[in-house]
Amino acid sequence: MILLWGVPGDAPLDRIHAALQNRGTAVRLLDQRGASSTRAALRTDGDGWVTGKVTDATGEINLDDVNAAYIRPIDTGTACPSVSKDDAVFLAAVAADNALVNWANLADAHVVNRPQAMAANNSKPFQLAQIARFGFAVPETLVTTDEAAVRRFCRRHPHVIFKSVSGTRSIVAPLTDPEDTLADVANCPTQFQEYIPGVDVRVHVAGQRIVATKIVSAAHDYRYAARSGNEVRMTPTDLPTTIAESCVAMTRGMDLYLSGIDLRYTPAGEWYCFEVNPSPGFTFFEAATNQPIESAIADLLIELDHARPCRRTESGPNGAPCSAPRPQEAPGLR
Amino acid sequence: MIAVLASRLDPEAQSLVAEWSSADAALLSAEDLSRAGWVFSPSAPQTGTAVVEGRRIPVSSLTGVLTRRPAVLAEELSALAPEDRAYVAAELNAFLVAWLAAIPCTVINRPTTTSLSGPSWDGIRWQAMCERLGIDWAETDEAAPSREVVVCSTKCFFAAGAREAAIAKALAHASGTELLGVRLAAGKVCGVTATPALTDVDVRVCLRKQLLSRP
Repeated sequence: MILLWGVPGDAPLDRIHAALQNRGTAVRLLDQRGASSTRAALRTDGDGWVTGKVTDATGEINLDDVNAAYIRPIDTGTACPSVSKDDAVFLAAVAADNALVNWANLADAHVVNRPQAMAANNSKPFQLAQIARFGFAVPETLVTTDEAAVRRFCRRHPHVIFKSVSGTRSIVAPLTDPEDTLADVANCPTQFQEYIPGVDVRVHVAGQRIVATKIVSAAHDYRYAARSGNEVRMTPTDLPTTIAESCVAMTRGMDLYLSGIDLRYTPAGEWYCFEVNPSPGFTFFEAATNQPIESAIADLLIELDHARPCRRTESGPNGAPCSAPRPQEAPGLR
Repeated sequence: MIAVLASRLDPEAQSLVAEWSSADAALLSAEDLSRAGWVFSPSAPQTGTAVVEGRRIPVSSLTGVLTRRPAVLAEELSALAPEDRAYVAAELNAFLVAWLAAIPCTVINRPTTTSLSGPSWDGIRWQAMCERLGIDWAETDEAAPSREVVVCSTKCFFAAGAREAAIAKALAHASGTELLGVRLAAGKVCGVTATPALTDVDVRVCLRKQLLSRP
C-alpha cells in the first residue's frame, strides 16, 4: 500500500493521489488537517525499524502494510489553524505529527522523502556546500552581518543578489540599492550571492527518471515574475548526459528519491546549481509544459510499493536510497 | 579561543566559561548572532569572522566550539520587533547549521540539519538505534535505578565495567557524536542525550583538552 500524508488542496499531493487512484493502486491518504484526532501507536520491531498503527477519522492504518509513502506535511499550526496553540488538542496534533515524522525517518518502507534527508534544504548555505561536493558549480556566497564585508563582496562581483538563509520561502532580489539593505544587515545574517547570468533549467528527478524544463523570464526570481510584471515561458528541454547523470547521482547521494533541482546554464557553457528542493511543487511546471512529472512520481511510487522492503536491500530500485546507514553491532556488547 | 554556544541564562555554560578562562573561553549567545561582524563564506569557512561576547574574532582563532543548545529560540531575541523574531530565529538557526558544520576547528557536537548540538532524537529513534547495534533498551515501566555514562571523545566516564563503556561508545560512534550521555538501568539503555550534564571535573578536563586540540 502507498501512504500519502499531507493536506488535501496541496496540488502536488492531490495530483499524485488522483494518479495513483487512476492506476488502481492501493493508496491511503492521511489528512494532516485531522492531526488533533489522529493517534499514532508506534513501536520498534526488534531490528531497528519503526512500525505500528495510525488511526484517523477514516480508520486504522497498519503501518506494516505500507511499503511506500509520499509525504508533504506542513507546520502543525498551519495544518490545524482553528486549534489554539495553548490547547491540549493542539499538543495532541503536534504529538501525532511528530510520531509520523519518526515513522517516516525509520520505517521499513520507501519514503519519498524521509524528513531527515529533506532537512538539509532548511539551510541554504549548508545545502550549497553539499551541492558543491557533488561537483556542480555554485555561486560565490557570503553570509554576513557586516556592512564592510558586503561592500567588499560587491566590489568583486558587479551584480549581486540576496535571499534568506533558511527554508522560509524568500524572493531572490537584486542588490540594487546597498544603502537600503545594509542598514539592517547587522540584525540578522543575510545571504548574498554573485549573480549568475544564463537560462534557468528546472530538473525534476524521480528515481532514475528525469524531466527538464527550460525557463525564460526577465524576472530575477521566475516564481514571482507576475509581481514584477514579467512573463515566464517554460518549455521542455534536454540535458547533456553528464549533467543528467550528475542530477540523479546528487539526488541519490542526498538520500532522496525525488528532487526539484534548480540549474542555470551560462553563456560561457557552465552549469550552476542553486538548490535541491526535496519536496518540489512540480504542478507549476507541468501545468505550463504538460511534461509527465506527475506520471514519473506516480510510477516511482508504484515501483517502490512493489520493491523489496528496505531491510532486505542496501538500496531501493535503481540504486535509490532506502534508509539511513545501518551501523554494525559493536564488539564487546554480547 | 573556545566558544561555548549556549544561552546566557545557562548557569552550567557560564560556569564552564569561567573555569576555562585561561583557555580564552567565551559564551556565544543569541545576542551575539544579531551583532555586526559575522562573515561566513561557505567556500572558505576558515577565512571568516564571528562575534563572541560582543567581540569580533577571526574564525582562525577558534580552537573549539562547544554546542550546548539545539536551537536559538525566537523568545530570546528580545531586541527585535516581536513580529520579526520567529523569522530571525529561523535564519539564525539555518546560519548556525551551515557555520558549525563548516568551520575547521573542533566542534562538539557537530550539528545535524535539525539540531545545533548533535542529534536531538526522540526516545523511539534511540531505541531503534540500540536495536540495530544489538543493545538492550529498557522499557519505560522498568523501575531500576539508572546512571548516566558520559562519552567524551575516546574516553568513557562512570561506566560500571567494559560492557557499559562499549555500549556508550557504540552509540556515540553510531550517532556521530563526540559527547554523549547514555543513561543505563540494569545494563539496559533507558535514555540518551547529546547534551549531558558537565558537572564532573574529569569530564570537563577531557572536554577542554578536546576543544583545545586542532582536528
